[in-house]
Amino acid sequence: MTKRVLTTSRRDVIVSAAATGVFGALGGRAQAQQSLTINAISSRTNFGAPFGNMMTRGSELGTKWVNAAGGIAGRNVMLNTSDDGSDASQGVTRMQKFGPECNVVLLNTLSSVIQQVAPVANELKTVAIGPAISLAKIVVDNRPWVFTTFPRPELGVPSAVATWIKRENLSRVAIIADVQNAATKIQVAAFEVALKKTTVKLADIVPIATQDVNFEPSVQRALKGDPDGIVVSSLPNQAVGLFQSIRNAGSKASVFLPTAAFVPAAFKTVSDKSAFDRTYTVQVFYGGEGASESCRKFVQDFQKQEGITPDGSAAFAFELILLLQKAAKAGAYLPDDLSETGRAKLRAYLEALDWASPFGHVKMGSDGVARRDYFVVKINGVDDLRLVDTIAG
Amino acid sequence: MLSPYADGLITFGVVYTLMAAAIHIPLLANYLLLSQVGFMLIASYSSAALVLAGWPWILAAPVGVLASIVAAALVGLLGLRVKDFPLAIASIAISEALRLTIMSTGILGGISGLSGIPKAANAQVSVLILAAVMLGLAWFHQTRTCRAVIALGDDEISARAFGHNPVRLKLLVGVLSGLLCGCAGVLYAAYVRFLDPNFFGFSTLIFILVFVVVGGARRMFGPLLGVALLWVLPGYLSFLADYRLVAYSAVVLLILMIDPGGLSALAEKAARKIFAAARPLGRGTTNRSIQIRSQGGVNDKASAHDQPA
Repeated sequence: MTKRVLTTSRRDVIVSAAATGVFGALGGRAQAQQSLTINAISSRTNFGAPFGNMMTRGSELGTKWVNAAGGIAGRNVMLNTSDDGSDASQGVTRMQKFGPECNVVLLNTLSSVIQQVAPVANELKTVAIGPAISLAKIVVDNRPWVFTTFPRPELGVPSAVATWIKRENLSRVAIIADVQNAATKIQVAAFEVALKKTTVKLADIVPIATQDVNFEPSVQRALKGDPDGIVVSSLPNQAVGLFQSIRNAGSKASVFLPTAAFVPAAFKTVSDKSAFDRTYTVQVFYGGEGASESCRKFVQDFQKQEGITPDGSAAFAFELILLLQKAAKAGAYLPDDLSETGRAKLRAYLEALDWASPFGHVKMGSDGVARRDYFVVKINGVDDLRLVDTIAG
Repeated sequence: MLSPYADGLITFGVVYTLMAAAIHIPLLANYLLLSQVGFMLIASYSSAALVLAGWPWILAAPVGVLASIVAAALVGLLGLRVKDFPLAIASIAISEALRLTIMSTGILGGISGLSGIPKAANAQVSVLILAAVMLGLAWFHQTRTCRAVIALGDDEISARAFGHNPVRLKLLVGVLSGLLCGCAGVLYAAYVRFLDPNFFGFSTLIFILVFVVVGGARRMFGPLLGVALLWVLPGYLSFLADYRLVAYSAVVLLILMIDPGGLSALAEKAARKIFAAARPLGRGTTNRSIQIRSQGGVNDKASAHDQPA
């Protein structure tokens, strides 16, 4: 009896490999067709990284939630975040790449980048939504294709300031502000107007520059007038330095950090909890005690995934993915229809947006800027925020 | 017709090439004039302001370029009294002062920037401008004046001894730099349609300097090669996600380690090897001279004067 030996010829190997390759490619193609890619332009590196990474993490969590709930139009969502390096020219080329390929691009990036990206979005008739565009002018000047789900910061400031002054019984306030940043400059103007409506004396407005790293002279100048309240209006990486300098100088003044300044991740370096005594912020997102169930679940999931508390920009980036899912269910988001009609459907949907989002009521204004509530929050620690007042948006 | 992405890549690539060339020219003379971003700011803002006031681009653009040239000439006068590192710092300071003036005073949009500029540029226009500039640079590199500039960079005292006028040469390179910055500034304003003063800062200068250094500071095509690699490359590294910048830095370091002269030096050496290997028998080389060499009796003078076979 002849022993049958199983042999594999070279031809068999080649044919098997080719077949595997073909099946793999076909399978991959099928997988790609089944999934839906959402493009985002993010500032992952350079000075915009604190914001951009926060927003990207929010979007990634949103993608997880949406996929766990069945995806968008039955398709698994893949998030494609492209780093613009906090540089406008790179942001523009990213939008030029994505614009013709899809009908919505998320702008998880800086306002300074969006200022040049927005006209391109309009030109390409691609819906561009920023979860944290704090300069409403960018959106207003680039209608109808550009939107923001972030409310105008200056609208909530007057009421927030009044709450802060009343709670802390203030009589003299100094403002330390980055005058080279358009968003913080608008906030400072809003603070000045708000303070004028009270009996509180404005002791000084101390300007700092975006690139400043030594805050001692600015803080010394602000403390000269012996204020019992200090407003720190700057980007988060500088706000931390200023805050620490104020406390290191021995000042027990009450500190107010507007929306852009307080990002929990940046303030993690403040190890002494007592430094946060008499420290407040006004936020457009609050996820602590008293927040809705879904909002608290988002915060818990984010903390579990990232190890830090999310801020408004992360929350709204998360929310945008849910918004697209909602738009798809309403037949307004048609990812495969790249015609102007298809894109216009999503645009019209956003213009009429009136939504009970997990983070509160969101209504889109005709100017493309959302209306939302503001929350005055006492900061007891980076992960310990207490709501003291809600201001209707 | 080009895709919007290709249009943007090319147009920005041309802007950065012009700026890199504007830094390269003074470096030929070892002249550390680093106000180029300031000159670009002047050109961008002046041309944009005129267009917003109702001027057509065809008239506003030359005014923007001229403003940049005048600024460069004035700053160039500074270089007559200050040299080397102090000149670099002083010229950067002038550039920063221009930017901060706009941001602090609120003129021309101030910190909020200048918006609503009508678009007047695309990849085709950019490439035409670049072609004209590269032809001009190529011609300049052939001139005696360029050789004098390089001689000045090598040794100013010797250059003086040979009758070259350092004042005239430094002013000339400053003006040429201003011309290139002017072209870049006008093209930039006409393409992006929004001017953010923060763009014209120190980080942009460093961004462009990297193109010059990696491409090769002493060769005409250095800026172009630097931009071609470092502006286009990041787009193809996006699959590396968070490791993209590590890869980018590794590429830059690798090039400079292989040859500090940059990409253009590498390209030149490669071209020499290729052409040397491929050179046919021709002028100055005859069968007789080859025979002499092969017999070990090299007579260089005889072979140099031989007529082609």
